[in-house]
Amino acid sequence: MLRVKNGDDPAFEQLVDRNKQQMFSLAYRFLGNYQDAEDVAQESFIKIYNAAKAYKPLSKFTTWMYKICRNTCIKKLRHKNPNTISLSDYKRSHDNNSGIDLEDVRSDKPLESLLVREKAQVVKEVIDALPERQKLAVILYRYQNCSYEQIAEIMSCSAKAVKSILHRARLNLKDVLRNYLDREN
Amino acid sequence: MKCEQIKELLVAFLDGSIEDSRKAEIQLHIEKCHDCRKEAALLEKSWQMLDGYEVPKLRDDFTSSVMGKIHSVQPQQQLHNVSLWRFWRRSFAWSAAAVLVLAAISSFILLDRKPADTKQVAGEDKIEKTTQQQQVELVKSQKEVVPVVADTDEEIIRNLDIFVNLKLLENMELLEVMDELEKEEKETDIIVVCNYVHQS
Repeated sequence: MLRVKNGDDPAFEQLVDRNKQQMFSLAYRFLGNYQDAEDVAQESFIKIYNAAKAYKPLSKFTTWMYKICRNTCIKKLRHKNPNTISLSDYKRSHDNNSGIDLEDVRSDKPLESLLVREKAQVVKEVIDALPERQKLAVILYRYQNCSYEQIAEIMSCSAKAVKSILHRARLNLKDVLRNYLDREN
Repeated sequence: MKCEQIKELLVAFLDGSIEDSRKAEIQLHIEKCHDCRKEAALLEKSWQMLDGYEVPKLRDDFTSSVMGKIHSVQPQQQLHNVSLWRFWRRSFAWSAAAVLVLAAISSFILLDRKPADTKQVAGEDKIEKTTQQQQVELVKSQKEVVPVVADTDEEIIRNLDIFVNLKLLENMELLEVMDELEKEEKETDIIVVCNYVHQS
């Protein structure tokens, strides 16, 4: 990043190559769709390039990168029509047994892949339904392997607040997935 | 500890971030209490279930696409960042430079008049002679012998250039201040961009 600060474009290309999947993963899980996530990832890297001259290595580069990504994601969400369902709506719609009927399946392999796909879809929907701060904290902690301190810096709050947010998120996830997990058992 | 208290501490317990003294107590309670054991199991499974959320792979030409946008967006970004304040400062700088040039031209025209036509004060005379001396020195330093009294058009223009340079040299301090201001403007723009990035 210091080389980029000195105007080294090839160094910036290397930086993008090394971090693009991470940046995209955060955006994809936060926004829920490929195109928006790709747009956000591109926009974030352009912002990083433009702000390179003012970059000061006070924290890890990934922390700074994720912070820019998070801001860009939130900006994207504000511009789109909010078509997301809340956690309470999700719980209400999934309280009845609206999953697949396991007895209708003919062989095991299709069932397995169907179950895996359904599981992935359920997880995606549940994370999408979490409140914004809880969703971001879960994604950063669970998928981007950030520490409490890093998440605190990215979300502009204290590490204690991050623990509290994650605590509530986990309780929410447990409550929402209770029926699905009971069915699975 | 009651079940409600235990359930509040389950997340920290499963995370391993609880104090050792409480850990043993919670472990003991879970082994005995079916409800709390079930809650702990649900918390654990729901958290593990998140492994199933996979992300598709980004397309191969993503990096080249980013670099392409950067190089096409850059000029527009620069235009976007020019503030009204910067515009007025530049206008002032150019106006000041134009005034200097005009002053230099008028000084040249005035100095070119014959001395008999004007009544000169001793002090002014001294300044005129000093200016002429400076002019001669400047000319000598350019390795060209140019007569003080210009006859041809070329010589008039050459002398005008010397006078313009002279006036600029006299006002070097002002020009240095203007350069400093321009540098500060560039730094301010970068700060504005960074603030914009952080705020957005």
